[in-house]
Formats: sequence, C-alpha cells, structure tokens
Amino acid sequence: MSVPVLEVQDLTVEYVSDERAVRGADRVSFAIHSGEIFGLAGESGCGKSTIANSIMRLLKDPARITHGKILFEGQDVLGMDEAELRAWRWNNVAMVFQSAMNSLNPVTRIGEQFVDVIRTHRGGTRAAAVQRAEELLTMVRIDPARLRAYPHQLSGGQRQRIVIAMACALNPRLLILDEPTTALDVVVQQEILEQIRELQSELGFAILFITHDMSLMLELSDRIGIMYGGRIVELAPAPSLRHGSKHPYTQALLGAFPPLHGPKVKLTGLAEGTRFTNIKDLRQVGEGHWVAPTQAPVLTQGELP
Amino acid sequence: MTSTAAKHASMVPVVRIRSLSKSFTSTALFRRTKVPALRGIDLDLHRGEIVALVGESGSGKSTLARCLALLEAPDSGEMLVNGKDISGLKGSAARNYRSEVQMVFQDPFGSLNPAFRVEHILERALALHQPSIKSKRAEMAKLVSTVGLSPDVLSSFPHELSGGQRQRIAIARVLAAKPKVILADEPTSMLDVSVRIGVLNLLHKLRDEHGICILYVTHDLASARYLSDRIAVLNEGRIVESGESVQLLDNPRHPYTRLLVGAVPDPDRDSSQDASKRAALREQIHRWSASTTLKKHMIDESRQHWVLAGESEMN
Repeated sequence: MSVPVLEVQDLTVEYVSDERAVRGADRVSFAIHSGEIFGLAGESGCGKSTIANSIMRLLKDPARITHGKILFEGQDVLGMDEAELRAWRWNNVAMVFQSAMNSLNPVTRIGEQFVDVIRTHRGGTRAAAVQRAEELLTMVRIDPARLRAYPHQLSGGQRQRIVIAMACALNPRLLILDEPTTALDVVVQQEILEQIRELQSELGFAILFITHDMSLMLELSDRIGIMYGGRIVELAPAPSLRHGSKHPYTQALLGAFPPLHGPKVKLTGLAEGTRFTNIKDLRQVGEGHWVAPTQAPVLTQGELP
Repeated sequence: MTSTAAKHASMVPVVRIRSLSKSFTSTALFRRTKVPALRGIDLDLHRGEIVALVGESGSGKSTLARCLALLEAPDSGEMLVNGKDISGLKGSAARNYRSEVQMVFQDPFGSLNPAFRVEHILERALALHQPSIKSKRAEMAKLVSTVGLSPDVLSSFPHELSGGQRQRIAIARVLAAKPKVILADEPTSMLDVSVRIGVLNLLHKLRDEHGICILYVTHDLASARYLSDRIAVLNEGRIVESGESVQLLDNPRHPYTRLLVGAVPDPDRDSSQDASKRAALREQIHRWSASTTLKKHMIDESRQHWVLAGESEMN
C-alpha cells in the first residue's frame, strides 16, 4: 500500500501544570490515505482539537507532545524547525478552525486576504494571486466581484465558504476541518458540505474532519474514529460504525440523534455521570474495524416511549 | 393520537395566541427601517402538550418565546394564558404570571449565578414563587431528584457540575415555580451530544407526570420530532406549516419545510438534496410567501396538519 498522507503513531499530548499533568491525547494512532475523508468524533474535551493542533504544530504551552510520531507523507512533522514548518503549512496542510468565519480580518477586503496568503506562501505576482483568488471564489460559487467586499458585508455561510476556499488556495494534500459547520443553519450546513465534497473531487486532497455531530460525520466521512478521554475507543469505516458499532460510548453518540423517519422510539443516550476509565488498546473485530475492549454494558435502544 | 383534534376542540387552551405581530427597528445612518420579526402568529398550547417551534435563525422563533415570557412587548395581537390577557402586565401581576410561565435558556453556563451554591439558587426560586413552603430543604431535595440528580449536588457550585447537570438544575429551578408552561429555548444545543437525549427525556417526563405544557424552540428537526406532539414551522415571522410531528415531517407540503427536511443530514438517505433542488425550493418559497391570497389550507383535519399558501399553489 502507498504511503499514507498522514500517519499519527502513539501520539500522547500532556497539558502540564505545576501540580499535575492532564493527558489531552493518549496513545492515539491513525492514518489518513490520499483522497480519504477521515472523521474524528467525540464530545468537548475528548482531545479531538488537541490532535488537530498537534498535527499543525500549533500547540502552545502548557501542552507538550510527550510521546509519539506524526508523519506527513513519510516526513517527520515533529522534527521540523520554524522555517520548514512555515513552508509546510498551508502549502501541504491547511486548517479551517472552529468558527472560522470570524477568523477573517474585519478591516481588510477579502481579495487582499487571499493575495496575502498566496504571495506569502508561494510568491508570484499580485495579478496571478488575484486571478487564483477569482478561480477559488468561482469554485465555491461566490461572485468573484465579492473580492472587493469586507467580511461584514457577507453572510456567515459565505464567509465560511471563503475561509474554506482560502484553505484550498495552494492545493494542500490534507485539509483539516475542525467543526466547520457549527453555528450555521442546517440548509447552509448542507451547502458547505456539498462544497467541500466538490472541492475534494476537483483538487483531490484528503480531509481530517472533526465534529461532535454523528449524523453529519456519517454522511461525509469514509472512516471514523471515536474519541473519548483522549483515546480512540472505536475506529471503523462509516457503514460498519453505523450498523455495527461495538463500543457503548459510540452507541450513546449515535443514539443522541433521533431519526427523522419511521416510528418514534425512546432513546437513552448516555446516563448522567457514566464514565469510562482505563481504556484499553484497540483490538480488531472486523475488516478495518477496531474497538477498545470494555466491560461496560451495551445500551438498549429502541423500546417504545 | 388521531382524536387529539376532537379532544382539544372541547378544551380551553392554556396558551392562546392570536395575530401576534412584533417588529424591530433597524437604524442605519440616514434611515430607519422596520424589520418584522413576527407576522400574525396564531398558536394554541393545550394542557400537557409539547409544541416545537422550528425554523432557521432569524425566523422569529425566539422572539415568539420571549414575547410569551414578557421579555418583549408585541406590537399588536392577543396573548391569553389561562384565559387572561397578559400583554402589558406589570408589577405583582407580572410576577404571578412568571410563576406560571417559566423559561429554560440555551446556555446553562450563563443562566446560573456562579457565586452561589445550587441550594441558594433553588431556595431563591422557592422563596419567590412558593413562599408558603416551610421545609425548603426537603422540597429542594425533591426537586433535584425530580430532575434526576442526587441531593448531593445541592451543596455544589455551578462550576463543579457538567453542562447536562447544570441544565437539569436550571430545570429544577423552573419547577420550583410550579409552572403550567415551560418555554424551552434551544435547551440542549450547548450540551454535549450524549447527554442531550437525557434532558429531552426529562422534559418529556415533566409533561407526563405534571401535565406541564412545553413550547420547545429549536432548529433541530430531529429532536423536535422526538420530543414534541406538534410542530409549527416558522419562516420570516410566519407559521407556514403546522401539524402533528410525525405526519408533518413525513409529508411536508410547504417548500420551506421541504427545504429544512431535505437539509437534515441523514446517513440512510440515498441521495442528498442537490443545489438545483434547493434553488427550486427557494424560488418556490419566495413565490409562496409573496402570494396575496395567503390562507391556511387544511391537509389533514384529524392530525391538525395545515399549510399557509395562496389559492394558486393549492390547486
């Protein structure tokens, strides 16, 4: 098999304070192949954003990567120095942050911000950069004339699309999307997802998609890792996860989204105060399907209310 | 469930809203424009009924809940709660009204005072709304057990609790007022997904055990269908379609409802709603709402399913 675009091996990140160290990510391993959409799902505090920030080398004190490796097309990301990082980021890996629509500079025109990104990372003339920006806006179905607009003149959905277009500006091999549609209405969310799929088929990058919304994740991702307390508790292709999840936490996440059709059934979710501790290493249970063994009881879903 | 229409017809609704309108003034440099937030809303809530208000941001759903909670003053229209007109209530009358109609807010982190323990927060609510109660301690223990927490949480500070626990405390505080109506404005959207269902089930239980009617404001169609008996869809300040939840979402008639239903991520669906379909629906929504002959057309009498449309669309 070819070298994966991204390989994370045994990654451990600790947030160190004077008294104690908290593990934000604990021996996390996964790989993303070319053109694949890999999803990381979990709740706030489970470590999914910590992983994304580690890959981009954006972690700040008190966070430390204490163990593990991150390989980008075989190249060691953790060993890069500042100059290498600057050349690598955005050219090879781009990230769209949570509430990215507020990450545009409010006092600069959109076009100027595109030109900035393109010329800083790739050089070239201003005219060429403007032309590329126009192409990108057309790709996300926004009138190129809007390059003259300021961010506040655009709607939330438009701004989000612009940020995604900007991330794609330099044809990265991997795009990290950290909750790209939270805070957007459902219809706008659907448009953005469609846009992401279109851009992907056109430009062929791989995606690391981070969200807590399982229905969204199942619709978009090829393979999904479920995180809990800094560990991956289940890793499987989307269809196997949907119909044959093995870990009770995965089932609780899936059960948190009531169906839109069929008879009304009572769902249980995760009981208040349920904790999983001492999560074991993943064990393979099926084709590409890995689960952390657990003693916790499997939830019963589907009794009538 | 088919007999709900007949059952309700004979009963006086707890909340009766008729042609309620509210607009906000938007001030630009040289002009003032009135932006309508609610346009001629009619809505009834019966005892023990859960009604969901759904729509996108800006559709007016929160404004409607806030008008009912006396947090906004409507421009015109009528709001009757237990047969009494509530617009313009002041002073002690407003206070009495507020013990009947309570609100649960979106953000359980912002709605509990971080400086006080849970027991203080609940005690204040009891002292204000049920001053006759002697043994507050026992009553508080009862309240927290009703919302599914152990009495230990009484001595905790809000920051020591998880989001789900905090939202449950917010609901316990609401119950301390012995309300007839709960207005829940996106009560689960800030909570972690795995505890959301627990809070929805709790609201359901309160309806079943205490006969409280609930107005559930949300943008999440799936949870609206899960919790509510009836759904009212708001678009640009108008209720464009309403009916029993299951029936409405299985057979949406208004293009706006169809747009929303089609946009909910659904892994079991074969094909996603594409851009051309969305554009067609948008164009239809525009045409429907511009119609001059708008009126309610009944689709299914027994399930109270109606749609707001012009004559030409219905033929």
